[in-house]
Amino acid sequence: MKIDMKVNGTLHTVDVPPMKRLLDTLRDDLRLTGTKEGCGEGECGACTVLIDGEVVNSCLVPAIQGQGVHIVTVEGLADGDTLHPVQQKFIEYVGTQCGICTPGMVLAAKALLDENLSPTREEIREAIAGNLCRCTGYQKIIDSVEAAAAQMREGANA
Amino acid sequence: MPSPNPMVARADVPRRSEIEVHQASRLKDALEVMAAGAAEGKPWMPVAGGTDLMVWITQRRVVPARVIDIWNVDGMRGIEETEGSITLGALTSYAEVRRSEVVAEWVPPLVDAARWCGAAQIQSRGTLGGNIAGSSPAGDTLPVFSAWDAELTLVSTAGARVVKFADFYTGYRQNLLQEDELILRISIPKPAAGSLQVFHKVGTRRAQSISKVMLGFRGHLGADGTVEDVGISFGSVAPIVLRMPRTESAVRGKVLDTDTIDAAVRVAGDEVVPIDDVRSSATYRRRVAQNLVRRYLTALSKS
Repeated sequence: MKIDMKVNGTLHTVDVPPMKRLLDTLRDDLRLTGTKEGCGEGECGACTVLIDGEVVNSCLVPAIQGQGVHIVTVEGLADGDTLHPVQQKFIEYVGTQCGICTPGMVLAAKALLDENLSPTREEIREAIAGNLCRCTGYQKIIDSVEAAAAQMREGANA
Repeated sequence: MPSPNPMVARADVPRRSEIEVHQASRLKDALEVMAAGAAEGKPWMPVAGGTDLMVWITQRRVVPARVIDIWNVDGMRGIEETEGSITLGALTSYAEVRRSEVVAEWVPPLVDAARWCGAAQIQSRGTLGGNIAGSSPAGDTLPVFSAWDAELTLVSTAGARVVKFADFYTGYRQNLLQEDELILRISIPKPAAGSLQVFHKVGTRRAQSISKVMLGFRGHLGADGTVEDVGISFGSVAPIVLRMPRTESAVRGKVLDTDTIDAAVRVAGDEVVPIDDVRSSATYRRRVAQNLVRRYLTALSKS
């Protein structure tokens, strides 16, 4: 089935079975391999992408529901060589170790900051509760998101 | 009709690529397609947010031959307030429930249930209708619908029918939905002013965990201090979400003194029928259920 799918601002037409997972469509058909597969059952958040600004697990979205919406993957965050503040702060504050959870974690954090530029640490914890990390112990991830929020607030006030 | 039991692996299931899919955008179209499928013995399984079905397909537990995508069907989403009730479209997501001022004003425990169901990713896609039709005894929103005397509107090409939520489940993962029917909306009567309203989830962590025990509790006292009305329902302590009429009878019309609460707690221990499973033991679940009944009857006595 041919599906018109807008990903990171670009319209693509893919020819896939309608119940193919959006995760596999992104990785196999569009070669956007930043989106990772962890559990494949909606628990871990490694496959997180944004659909019309909302965080979703792409392992749970059939490709047919990618029609007519705007999908943002981790590849869509940087502006050329300039990383998104969340990405930049994950580097500076060592919010990433093995890296498997990072694309989903960064997108969940971005979705939070798009709604709330001054989240408490508790609000950050809740926003990334669906993204499991087995390396960092989460503290450095929360530090990274806090720092990104601070930078984005400065940008908003500049 | 029996809901598919995702705990049972199937031997001969179609491949994901073989699933026939119809995408509906209008309710009339969806119902006609479903009626035709049921008539020819090849029913369509609805998919909305996919948070159950996509897992079952990936794990090859339940792979329907035909799937109808209702995610974009008109007139099945949104929250409305009427004089005596609030009405939620079956496609309303947990995220929409969390953002709703109407739900926060009238039935705040439903906001809590939505907030603790999965995490943000699940809440974006998971729907109230899916939680109900999925028929899991651990469905997070179900104790609220149960204890609050909700009604469901079911539709097919034959028309709409309203059923009490209390009558909807007929056994473990069994419900009244016919193969050609969809849940259209859920209606919750507004509780009396001054009601104590609670949703309490006991799990290993707040997000992403399937509950060990869940409670929906609402009640209010009359001017004379007796219990004028009460609704108590538990999740994960029986094959279906469990309304507790015997426990309610033990307190309705009475003053909530220590003896009355002790008696109600004893009845609650008999009324729940929990099992041992991977998440908890029957003994623990029964004790927790009793403790929750004691806690919130005590809170009600002081309200």
